[in-house]
Amino acid sequence: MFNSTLPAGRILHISLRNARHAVRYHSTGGPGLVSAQKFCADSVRKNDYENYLCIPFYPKQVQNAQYAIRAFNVELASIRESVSNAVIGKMRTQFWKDTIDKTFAKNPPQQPIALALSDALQHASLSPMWFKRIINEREENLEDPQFMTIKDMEKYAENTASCLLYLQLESLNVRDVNADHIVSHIGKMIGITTLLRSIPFHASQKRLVLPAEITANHNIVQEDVFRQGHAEGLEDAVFDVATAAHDHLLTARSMLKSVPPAAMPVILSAVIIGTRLRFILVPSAQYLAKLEQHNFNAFEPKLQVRNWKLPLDIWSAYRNQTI
Amino acid sequence: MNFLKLTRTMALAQPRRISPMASIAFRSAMVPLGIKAARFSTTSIRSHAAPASDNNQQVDYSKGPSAIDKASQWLLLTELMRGMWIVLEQFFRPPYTIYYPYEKGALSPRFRGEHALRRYATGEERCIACKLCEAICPAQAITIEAEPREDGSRRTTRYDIDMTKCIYCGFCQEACPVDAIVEGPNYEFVTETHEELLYNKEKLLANGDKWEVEIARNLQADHPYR
Repeated sequence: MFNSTLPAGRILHISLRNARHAVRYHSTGGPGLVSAQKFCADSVRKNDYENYLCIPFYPKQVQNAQYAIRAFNVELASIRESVSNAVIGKMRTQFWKDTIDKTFAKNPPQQPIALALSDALQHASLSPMWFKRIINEREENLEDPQFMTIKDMEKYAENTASCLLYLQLESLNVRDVNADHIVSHIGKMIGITTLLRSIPFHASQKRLVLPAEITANHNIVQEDVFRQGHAEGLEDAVFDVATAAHDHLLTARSMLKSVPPAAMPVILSAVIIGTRLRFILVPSAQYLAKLEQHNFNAFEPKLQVRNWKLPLDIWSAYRNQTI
Repeated sequence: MNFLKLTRTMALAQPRRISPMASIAFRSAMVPLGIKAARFSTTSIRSHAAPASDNNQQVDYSKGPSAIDKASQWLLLTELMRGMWIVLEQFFRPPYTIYYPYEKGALSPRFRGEHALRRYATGEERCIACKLCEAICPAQAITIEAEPREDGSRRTTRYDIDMTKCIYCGFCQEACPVDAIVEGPNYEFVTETHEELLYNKEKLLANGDKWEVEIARNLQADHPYR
């Protein structure tokens, strides 16, 4: 798959003798780095298709960094679903903490994402703080704590989705308070929307991701959601949470408009946000609109269908500079 | 078997009030007949002794199938025919059995079978000797020794799994941060000797090469949502 000179079927049957001469990953670039970056891009394409569609709009020289950051997120996000108890998950998160430490110490382990990140560090100055914050939040989330309030949900979204956007801003070399502020709102909105989208999946795993405060307000019986996929008042609860996400979207929109044109650096960053980040919003914003169409029924199967017009919508959002 | 409700077995017929003597004579005559008819029926046979208070209960033959109906059903073996019809139906249905060595049953993508060490598509082995699998293994079936290669990358020099100690809990797969050690879908690895079940790194990597397509697809079946 990565090595174009060999057909896929052949690669799978490389014997140990051939493997000794096979391509190795090197932190210093070369064919190993290329295949590591290919691995990251493949991982994002398979597991995070919407962000995969957004990455081509970044400047060519930072695209590989985006793939590495997003692939890192895919790895971290899939930990919970691939372990049966939190202790094993913590071993994995500890591995990623060590990996980030070693990568920033210029001694990455021979793991494609670590190698791709280490290469990205040579082109952009990313800060380890955001990586650590993502890992820590995911680690706390391993125990499946129920969110008490929408604030808890926003904190989770801030520490996962927003941190990724901060990293992507850093990779673009944008350091601006306003940019960070807008990105914070955008991240919260994306994080909450992701949780809303995954309600059917989490319900199948006997988890309810809606905040306890909201479900208590609407007298939702959890067991009904798990058994019947629907409960009295679920739409209202979903509506409340979706409204919180939508508020962040509106805030982000209004802030994009309120950027003063006189201030040159801010305009620059606003333009960069406008051109580089607006399209990140499109998939989540479209989900919210669709949710409204289906009367906030999170279990509507049509909500889980991938929108075939999405690449076109992202492109037009990029062209028209609108969210 | 009596699903078409064409007949009612004789033992189930409605009671009717006649004289006690006639009742006893009738019962002694009809019980063998009832048992015989019930033999072809899948409904439960009520040939147990009736309670004492039931002695006066009589069968009401004015309702239900007539004597001619019952006699014709009994003589023409209709229940037998219906039974054979069910056999014929089964004959045209697909069989429940599978021809095992040639045909295999469905497996869950989470099935935990024989272990394998995977490679990246470049052919480089995934394992980076972090030893998390060794640490988590509750049966202590995994032994790892590692040292840096000439190019500086840390790799295992020895990766042994004692398959007779392994309890197939899948923790090694869960703990592996690079998806290197997996429990694949293969469950046919019986051997004649114990020594053949002490797997070394070569055997595990060979397993990975052999089963990569299936393993990759099974890992793909589970999808992150956070």
